[in-house]
Amino acid sequence: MKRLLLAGLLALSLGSSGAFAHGFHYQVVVNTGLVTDAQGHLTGLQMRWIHDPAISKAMFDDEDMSPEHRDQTIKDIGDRLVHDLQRYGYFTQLKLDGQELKTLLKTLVASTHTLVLDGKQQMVLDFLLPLQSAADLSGKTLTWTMQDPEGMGILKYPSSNQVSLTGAEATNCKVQLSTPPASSNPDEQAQNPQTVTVNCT
Amino acid sequence: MLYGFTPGLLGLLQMPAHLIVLVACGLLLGQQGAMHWRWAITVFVVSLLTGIGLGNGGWFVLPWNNELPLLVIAISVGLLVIVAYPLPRWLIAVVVLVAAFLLGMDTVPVMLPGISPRKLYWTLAGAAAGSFLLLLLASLLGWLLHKIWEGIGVRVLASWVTASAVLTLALHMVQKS
Repeated sequence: MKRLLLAGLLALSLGSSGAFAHGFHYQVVVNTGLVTDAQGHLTGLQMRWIHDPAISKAMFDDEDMSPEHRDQTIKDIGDRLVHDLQRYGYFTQLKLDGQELKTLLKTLVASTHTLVLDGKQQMVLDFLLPLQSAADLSGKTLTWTMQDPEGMGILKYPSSNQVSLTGAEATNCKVQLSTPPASSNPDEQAQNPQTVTVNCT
Repeated sequence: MLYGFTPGLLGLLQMPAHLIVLVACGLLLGQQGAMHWRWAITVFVVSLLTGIGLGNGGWFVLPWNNELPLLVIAISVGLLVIVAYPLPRWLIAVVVLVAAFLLGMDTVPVMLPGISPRKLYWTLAGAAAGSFLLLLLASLLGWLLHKIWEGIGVRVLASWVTASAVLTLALHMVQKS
């Protein structure tokens, strides 16, 4: 009986996840497009975040999804989501040749985001992450990582194809995705984000 | 479900440190006698709610993992129950106050970006109710066991709780190293 109790507590401790923050993690699949101006300078990143179904369900549980209120409910959640993400800099750290690239977080993003529920009932958040000033990528290396400072969200690009280049960048730049060694421990996954490197000639 | 009163209530089952410290404190209150319940439970509720408020308000963050001190408290309380000496009221008050405050500070729901505050409040209400009910049940059990077999039952149970706390603490230390 004593062994059973101890084993039960051990199992609970190891497998703890749920309503409370201890050991909780969720996945977001990310797609990113580089946005450039007429001169081919980088002006921002167009993001698409696809949240895992469990999180999407948690966000919409007990919300009014009746046909007449569905659109407003989704819009309200999208507004709150973007508002909360602003505080964390959209989990994104951008660097150009090792120097931090600053983004405009407050004004533009709020007006450019959309949230939809896709066919699998996953939350898909689209938004533009604009730079404070346009950056010339010629001969430079752009890198970014995406990490939730709370350590709960694990943001992942399944492959480097999820980073799309258009215009001159498509021919002058190459994308490299650096993924840390696979770990079955979600805490380690959350602490070791992927690094996207865009090398331009 | 991730949010709401019931997930908050059942969330205790996913936090062994909370479960163990609540059972330990409940057994202590039960063993020390029903005359302590009224004020001890008042101290517990006020301290728990204060901890929940501070822990979730973002005004005050403890610089350590609250689960570790909670387990140390559970071990200490478990040993006090095993020893079974009558304790002064102030000591029981301090134990309950510190345990409940740390429990509250450690009761933080998953803060998903964009989540409705209403869902967080219900989850916290469930967690507070769960902690209160478990303390009450454990103290009732402790009181009943203290009345029979010259109180051996409650001391045996406390030894299990203490062993569980030591084991969980060891597990935490291993995970951290």
